Amino acid sequence: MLEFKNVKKSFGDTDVLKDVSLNVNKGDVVAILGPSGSGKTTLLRCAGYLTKADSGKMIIEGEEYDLNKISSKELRKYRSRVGFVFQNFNLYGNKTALGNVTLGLTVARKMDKKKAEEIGRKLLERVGLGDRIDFYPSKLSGGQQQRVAIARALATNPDVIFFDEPTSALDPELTGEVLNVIKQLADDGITMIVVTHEMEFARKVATRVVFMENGDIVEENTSEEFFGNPQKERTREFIYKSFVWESKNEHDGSGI
Amino acid sequence: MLSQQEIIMIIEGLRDTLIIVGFSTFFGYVLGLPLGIILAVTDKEGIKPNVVIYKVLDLVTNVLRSFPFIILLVVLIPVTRAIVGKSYGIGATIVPLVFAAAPFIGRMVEGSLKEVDKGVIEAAQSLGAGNITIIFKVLIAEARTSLLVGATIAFGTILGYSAMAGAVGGGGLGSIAIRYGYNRFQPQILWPSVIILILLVQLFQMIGMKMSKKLDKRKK
Repeated sequence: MLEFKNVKKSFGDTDVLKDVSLNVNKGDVVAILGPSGSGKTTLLRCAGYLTKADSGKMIIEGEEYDLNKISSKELRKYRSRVGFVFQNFNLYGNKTALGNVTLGLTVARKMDKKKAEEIGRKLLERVGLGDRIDFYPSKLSGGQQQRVAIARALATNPDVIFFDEPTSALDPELTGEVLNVIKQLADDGITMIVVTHEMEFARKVATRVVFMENGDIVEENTSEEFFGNPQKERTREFIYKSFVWESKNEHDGSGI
Repeated sequence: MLSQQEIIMIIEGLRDTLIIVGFSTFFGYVLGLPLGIILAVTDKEGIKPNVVIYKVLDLVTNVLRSFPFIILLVVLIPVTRAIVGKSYGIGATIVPLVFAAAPFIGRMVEGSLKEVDKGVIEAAQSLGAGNITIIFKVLIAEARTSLLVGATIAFGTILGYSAMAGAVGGGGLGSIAIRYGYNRFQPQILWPSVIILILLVQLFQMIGMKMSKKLDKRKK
């Protein structure tokens, strides 16, 4: 349903993406894991037309979009199919939660205000913020702000939502509430691609896991297979190192 | 003590100052706001980079800003005459003031708009908003506090420039302070004029800050 085709990107002499291709089925929740600098965020940004790729294509429901060159009309169409959630929320500080959610509908979709607000209210309730509709972002916690951002991405009813490290800027105790919302959306069958460092989330919520390093996909598999039976040595090492702290922690009894 | 005549002169000066500065600020924004928007948008970090447009406007802005106001005023006499029909009086003062204020205001607007977080712009883009929508619904809406602070500063600066309007018989408090207070050494006229000017700047600064604070929803 969604395909990344031969996406390439370099910054100066550094090849950040060396020909990345990826297939995503409807309803899939794809977690993209990998060390910092592996190119996972760049991949997502290229796919969202936020960073211009050197070459590559996106295919959504059979429609092909060139990631290097696109007309503004095509781009508008593409963007109506794709939602984006950012690491730093990127909410409009001078708009309320509802104003943030409805902006895409009123200005990009030309929907009338009343109808947009109706949708906005429902979406805010869906992410558990029914009682924070008129709050400005500065009065919300990080987790709440990110949930508003998720509602905003949902508002235009996209075919797929991209999440760029949605919990990296959050206090640990606020991570759960955001991941729970994402899980809820996964249960509702919404297709999502999530760049993340949260291994537990990748294991429990994602249906597929993609492991990237140095601008390439090292391994791609179902979540179960990826964690239960990793194929590549590098993947095993990554998984081991990511969990080793946790397991040691359990055994040494120091409580740290 | 001031004679009745002198008091009337100062009151008329205040009125002239408000007219001159008010119109100059208004028309300064009519030209400066689009200028600042285009500068911010066409900058290489802007939402629609365009080197040629940016460089040309950048140069024009810098040239105009480099002119000492009193010289600009003289250079612009033909333009002033063409616009208001004469080269002296209140109307004639407003023209060069607008030319001095517009590039200054343009820079302030450019600065304010560039302060807007890039991420917020990306968020709007990801929702499918076009550039015009982004300019008016995102850039200006998010930068409104900074824009208002800029307007307050612009007002004060134009007020300062307007004092030189006396050179073309423009009138206003600043010009009275220079002509009567300074040139003729009449401190009883100089000080009231200056004090009223100070109060004026204070008042507008206060209103500007109050409004910007009220409009700013970003703070905790």
